Amino acid sequence: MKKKLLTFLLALILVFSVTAMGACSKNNGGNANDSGNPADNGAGKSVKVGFVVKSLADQYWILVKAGAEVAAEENGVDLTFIAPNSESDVAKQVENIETLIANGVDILCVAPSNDETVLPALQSAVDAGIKVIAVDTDSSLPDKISFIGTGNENAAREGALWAGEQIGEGGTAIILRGRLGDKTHDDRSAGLEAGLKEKGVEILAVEPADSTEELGNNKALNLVNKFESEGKKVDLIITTADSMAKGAYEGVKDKGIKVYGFDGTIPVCELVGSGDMLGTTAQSPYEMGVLGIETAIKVMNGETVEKVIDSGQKVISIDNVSEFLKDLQAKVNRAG
Amino acid sequence: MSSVNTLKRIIGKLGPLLALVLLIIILTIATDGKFISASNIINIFRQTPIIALMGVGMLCVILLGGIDLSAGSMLAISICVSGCVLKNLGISSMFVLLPVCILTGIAAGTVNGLLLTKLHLPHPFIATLGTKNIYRGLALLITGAAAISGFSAGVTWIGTARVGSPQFNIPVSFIMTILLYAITHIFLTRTGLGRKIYSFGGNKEAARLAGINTDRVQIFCYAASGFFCAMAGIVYVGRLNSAVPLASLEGDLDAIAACIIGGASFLGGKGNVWGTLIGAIMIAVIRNGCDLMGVSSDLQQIVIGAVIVLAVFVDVLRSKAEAKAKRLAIGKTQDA
Repeated sequence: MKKKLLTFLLALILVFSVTAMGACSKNNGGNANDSGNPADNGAGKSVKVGFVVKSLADQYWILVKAGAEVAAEENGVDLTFIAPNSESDVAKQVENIETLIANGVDILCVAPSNDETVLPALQSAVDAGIKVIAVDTDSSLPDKISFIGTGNENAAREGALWAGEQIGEGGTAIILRGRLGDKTHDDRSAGLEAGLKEKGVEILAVEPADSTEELGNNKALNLVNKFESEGKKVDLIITTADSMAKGAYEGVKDKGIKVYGFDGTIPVCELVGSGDMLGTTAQSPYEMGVLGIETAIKVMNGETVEKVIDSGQKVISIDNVSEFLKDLQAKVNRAG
Repeated sequence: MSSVNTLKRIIGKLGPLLALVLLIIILTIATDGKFISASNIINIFRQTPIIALMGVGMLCVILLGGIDLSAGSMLAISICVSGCVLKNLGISSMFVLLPVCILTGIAAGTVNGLLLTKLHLPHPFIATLGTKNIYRGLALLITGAAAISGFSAGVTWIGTARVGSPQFNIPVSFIMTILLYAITHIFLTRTGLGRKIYSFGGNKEAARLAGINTDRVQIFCYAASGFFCAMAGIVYVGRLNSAVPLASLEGDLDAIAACIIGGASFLGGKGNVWGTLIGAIMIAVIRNGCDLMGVSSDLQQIVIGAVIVLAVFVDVLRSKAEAKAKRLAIGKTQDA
């Protein structure tokens, strides 16, 4: 009997803690409803936009969503924003796209998790008369209207140029990159290499750490240890995503190695602000969401749009981090 | 004759350990001694506890003939609930956050056990596959998909502190792991409940007919798995100084691999904690060694996969030989 009571109590604690903590995210649900009330956009019929991203399990995508929702509300666009549970669930993303086609959207904004896999689904959208815009990650779809995103290679190069300058010529660096075969990380990795070479920094290793904190931490520890035992000092660890940068930083912080990330997430920015991490290249996910909706409206009005729209990047260092964080926090709050 | 048999038995028992020693020798030669350097050994000690702690929790469940696919998600929900207490309630005391983390883990595990025994779900695979998704989703929901940092030094102490001289210092997390293993070993082999776990795994129906409250035994084991995941979570929070909702995405599979490499049987009733510890160290050693040799991460996956298959194959050969020896022995006594 006692044990039963204990079991029950423990189950209760779980439920309680979950509901209590749920308070922090209660606004999430509220915002989703807003998109269901399209206002009249003057043309007598509101534009229906479908937005599919890689997942919503990352603050990055939540910011894209926030930007799209705010822009949709301002312009009276009927927005449906969906995503699979995980970035690796490519099949589910195809389903998402098919659902939106069946829903009869006018414009489809897509961040393809895998270019080739979603291509047939996007082609059938085109066949159904839907205009397709690639957001964040480009698609090789021939009939796509535009690509809105960070020029990954260029953005990474900019970051590497700045970081390389801080290290100085003759310095050494390790690159930690996301999953092999992911075009975004291929491009960023290439950009990092180009930027570092330009500044005369020796690249000791380019190693995949799959964009997770754990692998970033392990790889940084192992590689730094390896090079140190070979008598080489490591000056810089530069990554293609902040998750890996954060993990690497926690592993090597007592060694005085500088760490530079990519994304501009809040935890990394806070460490940049306290002078612990060197910096990070921030993308503009919120702007991507806004630009996606604005471009969709332009297309529906028959205006011509650029083939490639750069949503821009920013090198975040201790000099500009507080201003950047304030702006980011405001956007996150708007997302709920 | 009997001394040869004893020798064979000892070698059989020590199989995983011999394999580990062999692996260490090979890696030491292949890396010109870098592998065996003090700083690298410490690295391995730092990288083992998370897998090892989840592994011993998994072992409790595998001994029943069950499986716990929700281990990685339980780690994530435990640390994220703690993180939310810190972030939303502003409580940073380790005397609150650590118990919250552990209780959440135990509660999550208890729910798994209750689903299995009270709802009579046909196989633990189903119950824990469901909760794997539920717990991960809750972790993402309560954190808004963002990592939470800013834990106090008391909370991160277990994951970061080390004892010993500056040249050779052992991580506290590793010492804690060994202690917990010793306690679990004593529990499994010297207490009534521990023996009940083995007998349930060996033959469910016999255990039930012998008057063992099988539901209680099962709930206990799943709760234990939750407890160890929470302990692994505490180490995680210390090492990465943040609570990440996507933490340990493949942690459950690593934990299962550690048990299997360590000689535990999927059919239940067979396996011991030290084998699991060796399995966990083996996984950490392979990953570390591959990094040191510059083996790419795709090849690392292949190596670990091959080791799992090989370990089980050797186990199969061994039990076949044992069965044959038993048959021969019986034959002899009958002849006499």
